[in-house]
Amino acid sequence: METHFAPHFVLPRVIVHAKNEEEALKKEKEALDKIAENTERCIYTTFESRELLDEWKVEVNLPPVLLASSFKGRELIEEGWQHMVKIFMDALEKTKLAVQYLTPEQIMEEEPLGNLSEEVKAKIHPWDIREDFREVGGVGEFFFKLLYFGSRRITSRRDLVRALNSKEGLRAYVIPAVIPC
Amino acid sequence: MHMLVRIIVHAEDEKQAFGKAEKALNELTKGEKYFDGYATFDNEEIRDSYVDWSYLQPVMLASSPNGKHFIEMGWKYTVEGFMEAFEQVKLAVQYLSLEEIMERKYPEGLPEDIKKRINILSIQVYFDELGNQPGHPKYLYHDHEPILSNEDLEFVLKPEEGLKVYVIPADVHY
Repeated sequence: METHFAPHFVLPRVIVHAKNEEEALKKEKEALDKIAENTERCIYTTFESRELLDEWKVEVNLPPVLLASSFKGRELIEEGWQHMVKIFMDALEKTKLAVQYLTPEQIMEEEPLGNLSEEVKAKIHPWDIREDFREVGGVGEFFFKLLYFGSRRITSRRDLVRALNSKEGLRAYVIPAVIPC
Repeated sequence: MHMLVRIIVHAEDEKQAFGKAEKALNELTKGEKYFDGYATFDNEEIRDSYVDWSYLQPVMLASSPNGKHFIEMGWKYTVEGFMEAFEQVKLAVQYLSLEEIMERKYPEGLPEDIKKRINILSIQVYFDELGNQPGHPKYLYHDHEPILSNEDLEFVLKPEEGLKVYVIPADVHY
């Protein structure tokens, strides 16, 4: 599968239900305004214009809007999902170690890891542990924010299935965007 | 749901302190990311609704008896919230798989007594609560940054030269 990631950028994929591509892009802009505000980046671009993409040196090239059921649309969504699962898995592994080996006080005070084995020390860092909890909680800084239904984050398969089931008369579209991080 | 947060600021006087707290609260409620809205204690209705906190003023010196008690209670609730979330996360990583956490479902065959101890519908929220971002159950803030440790709290209570440390109570909705 071709990968659609760029260093220093997040590529959120926004799913919307709309009558046609034009309406999908309009709905997506409303959603992205909110997403960009919530990710405290306040700036984003879609693939409608390459102006900012070229300025940011983003080499990825994608159509501005795709039917979610098309081959490329499905690929884009699945890739986002797989990447999210990986981030989630890595963070979960670290939180497992943290609650297994550390006391709540050690986590709160970000205390040095003391006499834990080198293997554990290599995996968890006192300064990052609370960030890892945040990722598993679904509110991580960037990487868990790859799939949206409107401006709402998709954090489970159930959310994703719901997003892909469009209502009568509407179709599910996926619109890729780029947010610098 | 509502909670009572403490915004701690360093300022020259009460007026400046209140302005700084308002700025912090605007930041915390921006885009409804951490909290949906807030009300400070210059609002009589809010003040009257917190009967157990009748001594609270819109702005207090952190070193005053009332300010001190209010901050101490805020830290106590923060620690209690952390401990509750920690226990839930401990159970989650012991009994649930990645998929079960994401989909908020119990594994098949999990004994009833364990099920009763795990709040499955909110399980991701507990991970979130152990994170370092603002929001429940972080009751104390230095401007808009959550106070996450005793070390943070000790640091914020030391005034910068020429400034005093104030605490501003605010009702927030999440």
